[in-house]
Amino acid sequence: MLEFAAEPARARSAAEIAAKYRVSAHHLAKVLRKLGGARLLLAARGAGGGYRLAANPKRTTLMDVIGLFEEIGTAPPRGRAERRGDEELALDEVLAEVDETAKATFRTVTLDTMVKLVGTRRRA
Amino acid sequence: MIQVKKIRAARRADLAQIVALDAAITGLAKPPYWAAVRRRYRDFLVAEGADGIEGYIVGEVRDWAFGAPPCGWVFAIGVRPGRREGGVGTRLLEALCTAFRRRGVDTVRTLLARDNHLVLAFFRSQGMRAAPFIALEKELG
Repeated sequence: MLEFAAEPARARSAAEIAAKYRVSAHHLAKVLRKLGGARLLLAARGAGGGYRLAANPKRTTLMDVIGLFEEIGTAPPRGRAERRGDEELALDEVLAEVDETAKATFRTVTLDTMVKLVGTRRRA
Repeated sequence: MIQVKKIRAARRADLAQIVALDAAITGLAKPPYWAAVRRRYRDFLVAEGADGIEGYIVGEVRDWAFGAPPCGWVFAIGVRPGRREGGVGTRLLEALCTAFRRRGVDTVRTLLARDNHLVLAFFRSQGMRAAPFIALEKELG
């Protein structure tokens, strides 16, 4: 997504990105289809084809992307609460606090901010 | 980009527009609060556009607040809802940071509700990161 956000008008193919990051083009194609299904990317037609950014990079957060592929946070273990000890329940409270902080971070770092951060690191 | 004529200190005559802008964001009109803010805070700036006030920012340099060396604090920022993503907030924050630098501080901080995603995202877009503090609270039964 950062590749697309850095140059929103430019279409890129799965093969191009896969080669750059040395990942499986087959797997990446699946990822891109999912991002397209979520309307974060738009399939580009014409010579070369590929995808380009469809979302507003100033309003699309890391959580919007990560949330498509995995759930952030620690799900409490299955089973009725009364079967679990006070120690486990107290630990759940602490872990929930950690999760909320992580979620708040992912929900407030946009693609645009990440592109700026990458640029800053490259200039450093 | 939104055309901002200038960033300047808030005047008493601006208060009605600031109250209306804040009410458009928060749903609450608080005229006495904003009058008190103008009296109390030295760094209360507004972005003046062709159609009036486009945004405001409030802050001050605090010495040793929470045990930290003097730094600038941003207490409030607001941009007219239809005018966002046009650089108004960026100009306001830059002007406030310039004022802070003139007073000899090199760090700016703010504190926000965790679910205030819009404003948190704005501050992060300006290069701000999680500070080395953790806000704690408890209910006083």
